[in-house]
Amino acid sequence: MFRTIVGVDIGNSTTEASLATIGPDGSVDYVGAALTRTTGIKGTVKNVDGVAKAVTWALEAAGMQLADLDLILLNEATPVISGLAMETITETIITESTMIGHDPRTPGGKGLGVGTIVDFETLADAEPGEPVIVLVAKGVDFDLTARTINAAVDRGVDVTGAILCNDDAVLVANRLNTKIPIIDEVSRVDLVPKGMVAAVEVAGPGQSIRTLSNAYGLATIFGLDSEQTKVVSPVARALTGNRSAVVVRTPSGDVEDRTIPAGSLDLVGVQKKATVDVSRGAAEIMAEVQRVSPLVDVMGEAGTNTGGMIANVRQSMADLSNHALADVRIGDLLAIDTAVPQEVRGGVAGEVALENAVALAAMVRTKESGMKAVAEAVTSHLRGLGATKVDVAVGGVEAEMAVLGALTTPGTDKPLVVLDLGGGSTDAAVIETNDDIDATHLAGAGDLVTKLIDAELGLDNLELAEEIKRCPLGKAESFFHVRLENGTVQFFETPLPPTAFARVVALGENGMNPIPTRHSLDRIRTVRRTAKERVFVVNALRALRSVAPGGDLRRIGFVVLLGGCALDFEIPELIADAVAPFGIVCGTGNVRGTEGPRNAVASGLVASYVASHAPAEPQVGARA
Amino acid sequence: MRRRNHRWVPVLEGGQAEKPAILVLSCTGGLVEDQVLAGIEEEGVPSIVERPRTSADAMELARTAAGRSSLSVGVGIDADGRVSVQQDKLPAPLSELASDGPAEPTVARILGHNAARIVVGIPLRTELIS
Repeated sequence: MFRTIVGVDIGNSTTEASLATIGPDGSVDYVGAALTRTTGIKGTVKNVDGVAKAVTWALEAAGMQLADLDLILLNEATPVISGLAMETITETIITESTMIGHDPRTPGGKGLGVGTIVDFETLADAEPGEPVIVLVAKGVDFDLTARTINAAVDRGVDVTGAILCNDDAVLVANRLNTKIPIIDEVSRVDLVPKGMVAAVEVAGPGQSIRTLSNAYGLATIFGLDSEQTKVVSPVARALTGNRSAVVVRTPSGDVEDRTIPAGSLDLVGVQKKATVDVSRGAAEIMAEVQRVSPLVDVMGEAGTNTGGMIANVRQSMADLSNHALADVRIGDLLAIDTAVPQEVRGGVAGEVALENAVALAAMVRTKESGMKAVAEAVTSHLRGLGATKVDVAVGGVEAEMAVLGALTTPGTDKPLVVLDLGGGSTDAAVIETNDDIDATHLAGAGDLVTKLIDAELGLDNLELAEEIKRCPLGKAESFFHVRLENGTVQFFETPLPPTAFARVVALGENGMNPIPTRHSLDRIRTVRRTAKERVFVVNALRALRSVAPGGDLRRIGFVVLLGGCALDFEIPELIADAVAPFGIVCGTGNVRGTEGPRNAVASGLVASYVASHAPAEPQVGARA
Repeated sequence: MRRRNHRWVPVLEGGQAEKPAILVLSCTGGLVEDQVLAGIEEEGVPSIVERPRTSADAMELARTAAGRSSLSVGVGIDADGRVSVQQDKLPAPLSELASDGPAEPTVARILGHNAARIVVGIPLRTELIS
């Protein structure tokens, strides 16, 4: 008697089905597979719609009817959920607008000018011989600006530089009889203090400023003593690499490079405990996590940023899993150092400074999954649709099923480690030569990569960050061609949109997305790759260390990558490069030789069922 | 076979090739023209202004200008004060590179910037492109 069974894997984002018929001798024939979006949160009754869709599609692909179906096997979902948080731990504050570390695209003139700041309207009253810097408000015509400055210079006033609100620097510079440095696009020109001594510097094309980015240069201009020089040194540092800058000296003005009290984390392990200050950085946090592992829970110091972060994670997980807040325990933690561009508080031209931040991903074990309820709901729903004889069973633990499915990848053998690179967590399972299976779940995966890309590029647009994560980059060099990040060129017959012209674009399947920042292609690529490395390579090594026999990576033969992120165009190679020194064969899985890194759990469910129920010698995997 | 689209390189008296510049065909002088030229100048790109005696609209002028410009980018300003930017290789005018009607000074300025930015190959100003 043939049995028609379907294994269904309900994941965080996709629901996968694998349809098989079992012959009287226990032989397995995989006849169909399907993949659809998971409906609702994994483990809740809302999953039913997705399951029904996946099952129906798999049957259609095989030319079968719902009435033919005997059994549906559901996975016991991995009992973990994960959350993310990010906090900056430093900030730069300008008091009284001391610095305009401003980099307009087209400054005018060249050189260094020092003088007292005077308003454009009062330039006519300036005393001859007095060195002044003119401050021009928005809406003043460039012709008028140039004529007035020329007239003042003719009267003997020493105009040494100009600060403009409009984007007019080149226009004004072209109309002046003397060459002075001019900075434009200073949006909050009203915040620049008048009557103070200031310095304006503009470097030549392709050069960066020399004097204002040098602490001793500032000391020379403003006559500072050693103590004052110490105070202004952050100003100099913040201006490094700019083509233009203004520094204003105000009596009590100051640029603070403040470290926000970040607070500490209390790590509670099974046997050991540790307290680590978050400002010491990710490396130290992770070393402590490893020392006290396995983790039981993590607490953040109350009243600090860290405390707030942990509380946020805990609250969102409690909401998601319907647990009481007190029952939420953090089972793993991944900390990552990052630098995020933040607008400087007190800046006058939207200046941005890179601030240090820590990103935390936390994983929480849930008490139980609601799969039993899902199974019952699926039964009644599918019977209603016409699958009269169907039964639904919760088939097996996800990690074990993934291993069984991964073993159907051609060229693999035990001992084998499966790395499931998902959205929320990185899961690892090992099957040893004696068929023992062990599993581990780590915090941090695809969602954290997206978050890092978003924060480090200052996009504030998670959809675009996701696109940057998943797609290669290119630069639109004309209206008709894009140079891809590997140097090749793609031509288009219809002109590209003006919003993409000369911009870096992410080349998605549904066309290109211009990235509206001034970051270069190389910079965006570096951010993307390091984000992937810091999450997936770090987690792959952590996972392998925790499941490897005796913690020895050299005793792992094969690593099979599964999950959505295993389809990424560079994550598998980054991981393969990292584990190559340990003599590990690592690659993206190809379940049953046809399904790629997808469908492992669904196929494993079928294989496991057959192995435990078939009368004859069980066969795992596809028939030849 | 003879190439049909062969174009002569414009040559000034004395046998020197025409200097590189954006060609602006403008029916009327005034604020709009000044703003377009200011935008081009601020980006550091040279421009030449000609005053044609036609009643052609901005799009047509821009197309002619782009064809004749040594930098393949032209600007047309018609008698109504409408501004259009064209690049020689674009098959049809892009709506984002023209004003809807008579141009506001700020729009004219941005279109001037964009004409120059197409030449130098940096991202266009998109404040008014929606």
